[in-house]
Amino acid sequence: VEFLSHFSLAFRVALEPLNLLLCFVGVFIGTLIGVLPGLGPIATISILLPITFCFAPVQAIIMLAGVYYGAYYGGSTTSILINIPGEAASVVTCLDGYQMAKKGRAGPALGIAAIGSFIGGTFSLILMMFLAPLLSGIALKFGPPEFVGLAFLGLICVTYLTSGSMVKALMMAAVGVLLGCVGMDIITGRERFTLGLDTLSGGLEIVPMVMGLFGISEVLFNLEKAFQKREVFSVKKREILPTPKDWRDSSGAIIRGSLMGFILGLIPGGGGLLASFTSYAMEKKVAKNPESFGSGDIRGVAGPETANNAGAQSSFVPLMTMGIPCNAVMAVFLGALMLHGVTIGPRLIVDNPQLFWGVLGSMYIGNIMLLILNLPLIGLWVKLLKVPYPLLFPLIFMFCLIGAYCVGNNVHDIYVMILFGVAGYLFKKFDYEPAPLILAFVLAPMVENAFRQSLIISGGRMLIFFKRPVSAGLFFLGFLLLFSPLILRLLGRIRPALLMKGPDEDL
Amino acid sequence: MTSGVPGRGALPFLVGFILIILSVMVLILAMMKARGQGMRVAEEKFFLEEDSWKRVVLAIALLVLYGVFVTKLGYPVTTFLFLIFVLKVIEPQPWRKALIFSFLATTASYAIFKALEVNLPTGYWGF
Repeated sequence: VEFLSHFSLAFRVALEPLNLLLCFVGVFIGTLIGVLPGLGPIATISILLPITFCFAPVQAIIMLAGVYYGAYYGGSTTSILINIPGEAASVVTCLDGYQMAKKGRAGPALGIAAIGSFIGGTFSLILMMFLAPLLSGIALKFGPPEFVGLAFLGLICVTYLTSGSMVKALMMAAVGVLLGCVGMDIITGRERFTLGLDTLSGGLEIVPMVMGLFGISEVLFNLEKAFQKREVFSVKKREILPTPKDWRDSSGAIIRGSLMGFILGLIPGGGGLLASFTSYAMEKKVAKNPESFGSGDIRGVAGPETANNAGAQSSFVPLMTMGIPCNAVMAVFLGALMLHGVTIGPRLIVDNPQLFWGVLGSMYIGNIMLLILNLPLIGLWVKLLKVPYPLLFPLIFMFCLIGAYCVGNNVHDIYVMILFGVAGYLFKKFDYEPAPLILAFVLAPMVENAFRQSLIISGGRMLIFFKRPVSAGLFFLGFLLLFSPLILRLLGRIRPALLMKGPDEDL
Repeated sequence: MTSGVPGRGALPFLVGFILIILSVMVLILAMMKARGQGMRVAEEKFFLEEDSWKRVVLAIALLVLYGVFVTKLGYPVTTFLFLIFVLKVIEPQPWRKALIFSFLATTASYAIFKALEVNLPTGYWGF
């Protein structure tokens, strides 16, 4: 009965005309930027944030969430047709998707990607409706020490799961914590790291930071290469539906992808990106003929594309039920909700059911819209792919510049964005992942407060973190994970192959 | 202030300390790797192509200039000029294309932002 009332609330909110329109705008823009290489969902959500200020929080989140999962639908199109990932989670789709296109099977590849995404998304949403109230019920019982433990475990998880060096990821997290300290210290009321500048006394804004790190830096990186014309495969509308054989081949991949994606979305450091890589690795492992992967196997498209969408949606659960963002996109959502004046945490579902269930409901609808946008209208996006980069990147610059300004009506944020753009460019050059930085930046102030509150409760004794069973358990897990590469190396083994990811690695 | 509760400097100090340790670790790991490859790391090129740095530096400079001028000349004028410069300097386009594109992009974005009641920077002349 409770489930049904949630269900009806979800659709009552999602079907309001304005919400429907914003959901459509969101998924449309999402597909658009997903198709266009060079602008990912993180930067786009930051750019769009200022224009959502004239809407209610629920409407803003409906639209911005649409951008996020919409980008995953669009990203696969670019991967399949021109062998360039439209966004990071579609990297593995290039491997088999592009090969399929080369063999003249671009249509079924695109079709199965969209249909798989739809199934994965829907599956993930249904599980979310059951899981979210449960999790927030547990999180409601958490005090400050448990929150510190949870955030600690989350951060370690993120650094563990980022591609490349864990030491570098930890460094990025440390820098993020320091950046999070900028501004007024809430407990003592004094300033830190403001360099005496008035603009910094309120802390750094997340929006210009993210735009710099994920938007500007990407463009700077791409500018290094002189521009070349891309070859785009053409698709006919009639060819888009997969054949019965394709269905039989990919049904297993879609089912496994849905489940895997859902679970990986819940883990800090997870989300769509990790889900797609892991799904590809798994499909290859369970296949009877793994050698067919990499030469146009439909399972290599169906699995990852299903998983990334399932993961993209389930990654909202930790944020909305516990206030812990799992990946950089969720960190931006946290920032967005705070700018809209919504307190995020376990009380969100209870205090603001409209927001939570409305956003969930809009995801159902958004998935249906995306299916329509991506199957019958595929020709539109293919045309878009022919927009040359020299015309595209000035537009990205323009939107970033104006977006940075509009968040606080402050020209200094433009300089903050440029600074982080240059920093992000250098991070990219030297293989530092910016995601842990953003997460630590968002989590640090919350954790610091909870940490001090815990010590106030205990009268200054650190033992409080290890006396309470839940926080002790979380800390234990965190330390275990932190030192696991060392422990495993001592045991003569390396990190499990399943967790290895990165476009340059042979999956 | 309750005794035993960390003050404002505790967290930055701790994290700064950790950062030092991690930096030393990265340095040592890199040196070990360099030794393994026979000290060839210095030969790795920083930029992809010969003239890559020009495009990157120009782009950064234009972005900074946008920030300097946008509060003086206002959104439409600065954006138009910025786009022209970007299109002519970084990856040169024909004049006609650059002018038309800049004009369309500026007017369209201005109209959209205005319709959504976004506060845009205005110049000396009030727009």
